Amino acid sequence: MEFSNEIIGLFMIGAMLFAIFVGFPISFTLIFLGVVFGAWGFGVKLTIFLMTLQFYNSMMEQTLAAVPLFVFMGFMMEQAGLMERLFAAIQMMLARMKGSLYIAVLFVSVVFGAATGIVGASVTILGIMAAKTMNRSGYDVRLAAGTITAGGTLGILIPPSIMLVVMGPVLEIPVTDLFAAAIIPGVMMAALYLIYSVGRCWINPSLGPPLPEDLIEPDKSKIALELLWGFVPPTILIAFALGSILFGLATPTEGAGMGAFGSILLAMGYRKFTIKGFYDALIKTLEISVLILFLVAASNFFGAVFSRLGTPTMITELLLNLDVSASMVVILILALVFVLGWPLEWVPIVLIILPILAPVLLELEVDMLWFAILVAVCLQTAWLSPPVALSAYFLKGVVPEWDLKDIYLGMMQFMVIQLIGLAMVFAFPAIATWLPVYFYGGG
Amino acid sequence: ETTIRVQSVIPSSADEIVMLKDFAEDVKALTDGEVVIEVLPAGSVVGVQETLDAVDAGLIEGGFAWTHYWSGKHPAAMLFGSPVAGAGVGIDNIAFMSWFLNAGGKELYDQLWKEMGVNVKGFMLQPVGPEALGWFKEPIETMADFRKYRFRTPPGIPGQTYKDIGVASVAMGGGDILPALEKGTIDAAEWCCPKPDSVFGFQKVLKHYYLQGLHQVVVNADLYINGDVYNALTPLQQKAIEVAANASLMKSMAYRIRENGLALDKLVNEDGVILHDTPADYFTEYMAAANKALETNAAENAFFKEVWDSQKEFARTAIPFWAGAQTSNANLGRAYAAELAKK
Amino acid sequence: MINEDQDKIDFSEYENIGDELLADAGGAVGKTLPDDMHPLARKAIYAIDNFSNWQGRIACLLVVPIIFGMFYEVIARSFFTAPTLWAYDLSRILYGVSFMLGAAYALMRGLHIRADFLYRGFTERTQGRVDLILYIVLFMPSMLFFLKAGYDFSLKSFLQGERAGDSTWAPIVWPVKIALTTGVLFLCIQGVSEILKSWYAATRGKWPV
Ligand code: NA
Ligand code: NA
Repeated sequence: MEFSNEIIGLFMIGAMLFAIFVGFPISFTLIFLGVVFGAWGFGVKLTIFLMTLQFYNSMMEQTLAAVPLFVFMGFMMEQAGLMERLFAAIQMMLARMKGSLYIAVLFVSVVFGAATGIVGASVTILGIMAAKTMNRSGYDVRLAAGTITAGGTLGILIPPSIMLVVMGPVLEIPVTDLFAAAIIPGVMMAALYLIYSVGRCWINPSLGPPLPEDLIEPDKSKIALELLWGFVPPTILIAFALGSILFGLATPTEGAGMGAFGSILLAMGYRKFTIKGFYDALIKTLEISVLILFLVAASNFFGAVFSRLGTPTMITELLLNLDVSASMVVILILALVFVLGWPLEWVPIVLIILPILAPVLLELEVDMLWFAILVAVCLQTAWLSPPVALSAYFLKGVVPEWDLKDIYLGMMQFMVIQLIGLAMVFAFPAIATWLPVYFYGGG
Repeated sequence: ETTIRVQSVIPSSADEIVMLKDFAEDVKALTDGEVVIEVLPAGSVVGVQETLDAVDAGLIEGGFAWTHYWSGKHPAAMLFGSPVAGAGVGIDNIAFMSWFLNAGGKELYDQLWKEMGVNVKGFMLQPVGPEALGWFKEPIETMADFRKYRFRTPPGIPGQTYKDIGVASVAMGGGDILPALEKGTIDAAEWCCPKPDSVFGFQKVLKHYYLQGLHQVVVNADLYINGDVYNALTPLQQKAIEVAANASLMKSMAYRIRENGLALDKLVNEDGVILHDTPADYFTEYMAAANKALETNAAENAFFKEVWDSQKEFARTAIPFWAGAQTSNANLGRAYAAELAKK
Repeated sequence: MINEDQDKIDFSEYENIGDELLADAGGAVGKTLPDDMHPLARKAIYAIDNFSNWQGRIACLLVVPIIFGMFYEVIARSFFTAPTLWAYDLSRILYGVSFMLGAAYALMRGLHIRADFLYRGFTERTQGRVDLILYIVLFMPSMLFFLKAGYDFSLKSFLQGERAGDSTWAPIVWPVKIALTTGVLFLCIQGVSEILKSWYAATRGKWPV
């Protein structure tokens, strides 16, 4: 039986959805499927040539050079121990308040979300810093675990974010616009978390009682000094990276380089800079960059085969003929992203699913910037959805006395909040689109 | 029926694509529907920079860009796509067509692909020049003023020449220019000509516009068809493409003058853009540097030298005539424009 | 008081601090491979993994010049109106080269993302079988095709003396293409080690490292 190329493309997608769940590394699975279905559709010689072209093209995509730079910056900050200082300062300041540690956790999450682009570090460090004190003060485990894991995910939404850097080229949106668009939704999500955890505390103080007397610092001037020392370094770093990007001194990649440079200086300033630590950060940076960027290249190849087979055009025409409304399509895609977020990481979702569906959205004249932010907020749930939510294992790893079941139940509560936030951005697109227009005039 | 899928390097809304589709209609009509040229958006199968490689390999049957996009593969591509400062001898886009169609340019153009080692048949389709010098935040009176700004320049030799005369030249892709201007990463920029520039939206950020520039006086967009695909066509079909391509040269020129005129009128009269004359010292400095760059390349590459020599040989007799004749047109036209501006 | 509390936390005991994406990293150069492994396999695995480890240790250094290049460019352009022509190209070339030359290292470290919510639950023997089959049927053939195409691709570019067509600086680009091909070659080599390791897991029921 003879199949048209467009149909072969459909088989390819079907095979992909099955094959990646076998559990072999996704990049190599995609390369293999691209080669097989490309060879079937237009010959093996052209297919492997297309592979080299796509890999080369991905290697020369300057925007993506921001990925290793932001990652490196995150690791250097972690080494400088900046997060701990800020947390301790806020904890001191608010010690007598109900639910003060929830506030401290979320506040630190936002500040560090604005300074780095990675997620995992936040959850682990917040866990280490907050959990002991939370236990001593008799905090509710579920609410505590939920706040820590949810707060930790903010770093991927609040710019700079490697997820947004990767999403930019995929959806053909300038990364600066994405950064500007993500600021308000990111702060909004933090506010929603805060309202939820502190709100519950005020209704039921046993969920987050004030700190025990021995943890309260009586000396006001010491508190002030700690606050200063907690705030200044992250502010400098935010100015270096995010500031230089948003105020036009630098492109996102250059800004990432500024941030990386600034983080080295800060680590030196704090006498935490060691050659071993520096090298360790470089190695970890390479590890994260490779796993993201190699998958970027493999997905680009997979997508190019799909495109060369002509299937995207067919799908677009098909969907347009169905005459569904733009918002319906957006809702369906978000639902798909949400569901895939349970078993998958953000990387394959952004790289494989979005390019397939983007042409339809363009035809329907959906505001891609708005759509990108919706996807980003939706993907945040991928970190909060058990059982494949690494945040949970991280937290369990550093706070073994917390039951995994309680951690899961805590995360689920925040997933609901996440969906509320998503609904808000959906209903009021200006939450995402207002700031970029305000900054850059838009259009 | 043969379908030639042509991947372009620019968004489908661009004027070049409008004209490319017009060319495709002509080919279809002339071949009685047997040769269908289908335009694929930029990046749909391969990245922009890989378009020629993909056509060469047969991954796509055709590609559409500007010849100088392939300067990285052979430096002489620049002499066909955007000979800097009119090849250093004042060739404008109409004179270029004279060289191309009548003075051996076309034969050298066919040879370019062989020198590059790619299996493609090329067709020059759209003369796009002259391009404007560009857009500035503040008026510039002299080269010293020019050197105060970070200026987005075209890639390759035309851009390097700016660097040579001390302009802070910044390289960046088309899509990044407007955001970079809005945020002040750069202060000045060039892209093309009034119509494409206004589609880009430069007028929203910068108001001082200079039409007379030398970096891309001549600009040509062309079509590449995979050699095997082309050779499989019947002689009649091949002739049809050639005839349609030659027609496209004239049609594009006609289309461009009107469209750019309409766009400029809107820029000046509705968007508050102010037109200026380019500082006189720009021409001498840029010309000298361009000639130096051309000489360096000619010394390094025999085919480059051959093409450039041919252009200079053509220019020796043609340019004194053409430039002399054009001067009266230009003067008369500018007097008329000045009169219009007064009203 | 509080500070003293904080000081007591020894962060070094939490090895996986960093990013969630690194959490599943299982691989490492096995210093003590199991005794019941064929000595040749043991030697091969050790040699290959060690080789890939060195690739990673070197490739990771490439990010340093990117950092300084970007910093220099921003300062020179913003404060001295003296942008460079090279910073843009340097950053993308080094970034591209680093992730391709780091690919085999990441394979050795088991870092390439798996959708493993099923795989994780398999016995080690089943994991070994799945991996063994897929490394032989799926990984190796596609990488060998890739190697062949990459070789032709870089050779052609080298002979042309190809330069970047989309930048003012216009640097030569064939080194990037050679790095691409070299990265694929390294992946093929590391693939051999992975086949041997999954073979061991498939037959002995446990991973050697
Ligand atoms: Na962030
Ligand atoms: Na131009």
